[in-house]
Amino acid sequence: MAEAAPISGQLKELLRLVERTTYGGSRQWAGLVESMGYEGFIDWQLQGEAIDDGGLEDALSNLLPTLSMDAATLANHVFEERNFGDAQRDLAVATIIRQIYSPRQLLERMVEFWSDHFNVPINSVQSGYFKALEDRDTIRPLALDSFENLLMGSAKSPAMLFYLDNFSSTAEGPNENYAREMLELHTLGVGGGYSEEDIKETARVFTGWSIREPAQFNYYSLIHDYGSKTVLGEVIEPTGLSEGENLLRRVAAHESTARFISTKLVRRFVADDPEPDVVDSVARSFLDSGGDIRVTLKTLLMLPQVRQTLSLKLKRPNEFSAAMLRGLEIELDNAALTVHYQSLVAGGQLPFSWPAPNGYPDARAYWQSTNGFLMRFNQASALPGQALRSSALLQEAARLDGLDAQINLLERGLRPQGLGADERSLLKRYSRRLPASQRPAALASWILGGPESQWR
Amino acid sequence: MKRRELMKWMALSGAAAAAPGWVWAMGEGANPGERLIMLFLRGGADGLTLVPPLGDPAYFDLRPTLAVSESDALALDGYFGLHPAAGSLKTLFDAGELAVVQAAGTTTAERSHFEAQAIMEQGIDPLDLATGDGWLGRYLAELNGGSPLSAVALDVAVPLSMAGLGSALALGQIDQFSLQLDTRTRLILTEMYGQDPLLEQTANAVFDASQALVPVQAYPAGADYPAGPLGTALSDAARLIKSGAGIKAAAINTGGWDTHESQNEEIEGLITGLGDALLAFRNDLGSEWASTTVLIKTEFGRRAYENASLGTDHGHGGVMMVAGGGVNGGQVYGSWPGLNASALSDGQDLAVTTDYRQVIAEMLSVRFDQSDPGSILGGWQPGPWQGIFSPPGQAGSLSALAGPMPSASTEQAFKLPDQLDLGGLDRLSSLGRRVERGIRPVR
Repeated sequence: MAEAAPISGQLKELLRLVERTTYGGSRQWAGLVESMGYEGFIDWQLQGEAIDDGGLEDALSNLLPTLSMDAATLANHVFEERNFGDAQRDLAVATIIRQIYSPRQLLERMVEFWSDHFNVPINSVQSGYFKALEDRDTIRPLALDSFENLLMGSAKSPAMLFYLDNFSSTAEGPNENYAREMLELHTLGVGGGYSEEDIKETARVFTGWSIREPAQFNYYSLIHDYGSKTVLGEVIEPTGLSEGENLLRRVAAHESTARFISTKLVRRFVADDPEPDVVDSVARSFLDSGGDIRVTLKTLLMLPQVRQTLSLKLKRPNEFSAAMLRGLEIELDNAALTVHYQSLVAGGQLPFSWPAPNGYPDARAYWQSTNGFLMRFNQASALPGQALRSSALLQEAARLDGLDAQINLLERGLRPQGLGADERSLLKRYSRRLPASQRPAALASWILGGPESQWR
Repeated sequence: MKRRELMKWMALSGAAAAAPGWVWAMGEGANPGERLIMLFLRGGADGLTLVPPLGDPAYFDLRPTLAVSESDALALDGYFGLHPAAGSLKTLFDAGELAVVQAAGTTTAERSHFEAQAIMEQGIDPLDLATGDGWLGRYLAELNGGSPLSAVALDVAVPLSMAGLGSALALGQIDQFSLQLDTRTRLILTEMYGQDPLLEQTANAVFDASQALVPVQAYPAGADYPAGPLGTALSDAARLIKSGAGIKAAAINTGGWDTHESQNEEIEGLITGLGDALLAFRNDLGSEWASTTVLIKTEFGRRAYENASLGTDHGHGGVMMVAGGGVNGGQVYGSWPGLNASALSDGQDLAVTTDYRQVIAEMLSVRFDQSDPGSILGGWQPGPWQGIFSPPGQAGSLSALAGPMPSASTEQAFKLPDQLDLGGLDRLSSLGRRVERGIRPVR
C-alpha cells in the first residue's frame, strides 16, 4: 500500500487550529474541523458553556460531590468533617478530565490560561477550599467573558484575597502583596508604566477588601484608608469600595494591559516570542472590544500570520500527555487518569500547584528539560502497551493486515499532519521484525515519543 | 590521549553512540575538584529575621511585633544574632564553616520577585543589561564540559542562572530519574531526535544522564535529612558528590520565603528546615565538605517595617550566606548601614552595602580559580576581597559536628499528593466515550 497522498496547505492550517485550541487532535477532531471549516470551528468553540458537553458536567458532579457544594456545605465537609484533601483532589481530577474529554476544548484552554494568569496555588487546606470555589464561580464562568469582569471577580475572590494577603490589609499597615502582583502580573505588566509609589497607593486603595466566612467577599469600611490617593497620575477621592472597583476598571482598560494580555495570549496560542505586529493587532482588538475575550481570541486566531505560523510551541507536560490520550482515543478509566496524573507529577505540572503568583511558565526554555523529556519518553513508551484494550485506535490497528496499513491508520490518528518520509522509513525499519501483535503499540510509542509529537 | 582526542576517536569509531556518557568523565580524573551548590531562597527571605541586628535600636522600633528579641536570639558576635530556629546554622557558624553577609543584594532596588530574580540569576545589575544566560552557566561554560552530570539542577527545570550552558541537566529527584525504554525504542528515538536540531541535545542528555545516574542511585543517603524537597535535593547533591559522578555545580531552589502575612509562624519552619538540611549535608559529605561551597542567596530582603498582617512586604537589602570547608566562617561580613530613617533605602528598606556579585566574584576567584570573575559577571569590576574564602587545599581538618536537633515536625502544607487516590471514582469508565458521542456541533 502506498503512502497517503500529501495533505494540502489548507488542511494543515485546519489541523494546526485544532492543535492550538484543543488539548490535542484526534481522528474525531480532525473530522470536526474539516466539516466546519476554519472560522466555523472557532465560532463553535467560542460558544464555551453553550456547547453540548454530552453530560460531562453532570457526570463529574455525580462523581466528585464537592464540585457542586455551596460554600457553607463545602466548608463543613472540608473543615468540620475533616476531609482536608477532598476539595483539592476533586478540583484537580475534574480539571484534567475536562481538559482531555470535554468538547468545550477552547473554554478549557482559556480556563487554564486564566488559572495561570491569576495563579492561586492549592498548597494548603484553606487555599484549596477557596480555589475550588473560585474556579467554579469565577474563572470558569468568566473565562470567555470580559477581562474586566474576570479581574474584578479575581480581586474579590476569597482565593486571591487570601493567597495575596489582601484580606488582612488595613489602613494601619497596608499589605502590598496583592497591589504589586495585580499591577505587575494581572494587568499592566513589567514596564507598564507604574511606579513603586503607585504600588503603595494601590495597596491603600484596597485596604478593607477582605473575606467574610465562610467564603464571601466583604468590604470592611472600618479598616479602609480614607485618605486620598494618587495612582497612575490620577487622584482617587476617598469613596470607599468604589475606589478599588474604579481602579480595576481603569487598569483593565489600560493600553499596557491590552498589550500585556495580548502578548501572553499570542505566546500561549502561537509562539514563545510573539511577533510585534501580531500583538499590535490583538491588543487593538482587546481595546476596541472593551476587553471582550471572545472577540480578542477570534481576532488572534483569524490573523493570516497566525494561520500560517507553523507549530512552534513545545507542548507543556499536560498538553503532551493529554494529546497522547486524545490521539489514542482512550476510554476514560482509572488507569488512563492515573497515567496522566503521573505525567503531571513527573513533569512538574500538577494543576494549580505552581508556587509563585506568576503561574506555570509558558516557554520552551523552561519545559525543554531532561527531567521533562525523561517523562515524555517513559510515558510514550509505556502508555500504548497498557492501553491496548482501552484505545479505539490501537484496537483498530490490531485488526489491520500489513505494516503499511497500520502505519497509515496510526498516522491519521496520531499525526494527521503527516509523517515525514524519514520518520516513516524508520518506523518501518524498526517494526519489521516485531511480531504483528506488538506492532501497533510499538509504532504508537515511537510516533508519540518522537520529536514531531512534542510540538503544537 | 587528551580528552579531545578521545572524543574525536569515539566519534569516528562510532563508540560515542554506544558508550555510556560517563566514560567522558575519564578525561577529568577521579577528583573533579571544587563543587558549587547554589541554593536560592525564592520569595525574598527576611534577612532581618534570619540574622537580626540586635545591636540596632531602630530594629525594634520598626518591628514592634516581629523583631527577634535579644533573649530569644542565638547570639553571633555581640551585634547580630540568629533566629532561635537556626540552631543548625549556629552549629555551622560556630564551627567556622558558615559565613553571613548582611545588607547584601542588588544595587538597583528591584522589588518585583521576578525582576529581582532575573537580575541575580543573570549576574547583572540593572535588568537593562540582561544577557539571557546565567552567571553560573557562563562559569560552567569555561570548564569545557566533562561528565554529563557536571552541571545539574535538582529541580524539574534548569534555572535561569544555569541557562546558556546547553549541557545543564534538570534531574528532578535522582531516584525518580529512571529511563524505562526497551533497546529498540531507545535506538529509534535516538535516530528520530538526531533529525531535530532543537531537541536532539536534550534527548541525548536524557539517555546519557539516565546511565550516568545508575551508580549514583545505588548510593544511599548518608545522613538524616529533614523531609521535604530541600532535604531531598541536598541529599541528592551529596550522593552526586560522594559517588564521584563528576559534579561541578548544582542548583537548588527552595520556596516559601515570601512572608507578607503571619511571618513568624511561616518563617520558623523554613529556617529550621534550611539549617537542618545544610548541617545534614555537611555531615553527609564528610571530607568532601572541604571542597564544597554552598552559596545561599535570595532576590531581596524585606521591608524594614512590618505591615498590619504581621508580615513584611518586599524590600531591598537582604542576607547572603556561604557555607563549606573553604569558607572563613564564624563571621558576619559586610558593613551595616543601620536602620535609622536616614539610612534606609528609599526611606523604607535596609540599604545594600555589599553588591551580591562581590560575594560571587570572590568565591569564583578564590575557590574556583577564575582569574577574571568580572567577565562572568557582565564586565562588572568587583572591589577588594573581604576574606570570606580560603583557597582550596588550605582548609583545616574538619571536626565532627552533632547533627540537627530532632525537631517537632512542622505541619506539612497540604498539597496534591504524588499518587492520585481514586477511591470511589470507579464509575469513570465509559464516561469519555459517552461524552465524545454526545458532541453535536452547532452549525
